[in-house]
Amino acid sequence: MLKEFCEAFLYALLERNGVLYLLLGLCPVICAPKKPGRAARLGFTVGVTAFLSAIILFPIQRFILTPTGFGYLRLPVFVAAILAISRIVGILFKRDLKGESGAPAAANCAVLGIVLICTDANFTFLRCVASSLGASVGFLLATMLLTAARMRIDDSALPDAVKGLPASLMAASIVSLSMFGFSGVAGGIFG
Amino acid sequence: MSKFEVFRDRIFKKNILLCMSLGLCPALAITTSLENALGMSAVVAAVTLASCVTVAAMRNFLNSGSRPVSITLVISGYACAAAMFTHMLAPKLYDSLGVYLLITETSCMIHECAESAAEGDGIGFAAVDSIGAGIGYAIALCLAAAVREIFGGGSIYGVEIPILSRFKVDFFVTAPGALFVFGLLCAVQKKLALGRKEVNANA
Repeated sequence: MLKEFCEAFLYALLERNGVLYLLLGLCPVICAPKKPGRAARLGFTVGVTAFLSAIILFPIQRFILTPTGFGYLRLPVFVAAILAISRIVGILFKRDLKGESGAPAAANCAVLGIVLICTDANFTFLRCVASSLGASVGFLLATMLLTAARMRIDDSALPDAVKGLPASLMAASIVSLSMFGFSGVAGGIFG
Repeated sequence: MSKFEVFRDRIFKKNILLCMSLGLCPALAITTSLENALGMSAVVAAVTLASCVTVAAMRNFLNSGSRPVSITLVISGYACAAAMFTHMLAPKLYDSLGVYLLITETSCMIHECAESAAEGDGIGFAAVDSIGAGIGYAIALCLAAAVREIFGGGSIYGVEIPILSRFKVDFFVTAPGALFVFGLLCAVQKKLALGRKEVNANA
């Protein structure tokens, strides 16, 4: 059981990293944080929201929506639940999660993406917990990595056309490429 | 600002994907082929138009507290309907877009358009604004998809290109390739915009 947990955790953290492999939740990561402290807070809040949402919505999807034939209403139900959970997390950590355009946390692709991926497939509850935990920590990791890369870019002399967003995207591309080095790690350690 | 100016700005000067970097997440992930990009653009444009018109119609009933929640729920309803229509009309597209089709709901682009519709000057403006945004999104998406499909898959819209199909570069169809291609496109757009500004300054 521990082996399954660790394998799913590492798989979601390193091999299928939400931001760097599945490209979920890029907008807030690439646009918003310029300081490590803010990036860590963003990553932490999104991670907690995603983890809580996934473990709360997994039973709702499995035991209420699917048996009663309302599976097609998954999206509105998930979005409403994520809105509520993100508000609670915001109150708990005294921080309202805002996207670039002022959209609430449900508008964060990372949260909805992690929840959809962790509840969609034929996962057991244990695997759902491990995957969502891995994906949440993975989001924090990716946010910190990309912010660090961005701080280096801001200090360097670049052509005007490449400054800002284009340079951030290209740096993210290199960071993402480096994550490919971890492919096969989860299966390799525990396989 | 006239309706035409709003429309034109959304396509080039304020292109939602390349300048404002909104709605990047689903866009980057699905641009592995032109077919996916066209399907995705159609879905996103339809959802944007429908949600913006709805939000603009009910803007007088929304206050600042209820607005974000209402907008999110309106968009999620339309996104759910769009996913069901896609499943019915184009099951192959539905399978290849996968989870990213549902994630259009969280696309910051649709939220941004809906927010401006809620503050804007009526249904007509909201419709023009969202159609412009949809076309701008489609152009950026198709450009990126074409680059990635030509160099990564050696084909264009499923038709093989004779020489390139022997020299496929796998990098372009992976996630880093997507980020790199979008970075390049943003740089090109910025260069064009800067060039135009310099010309205007000299004139």
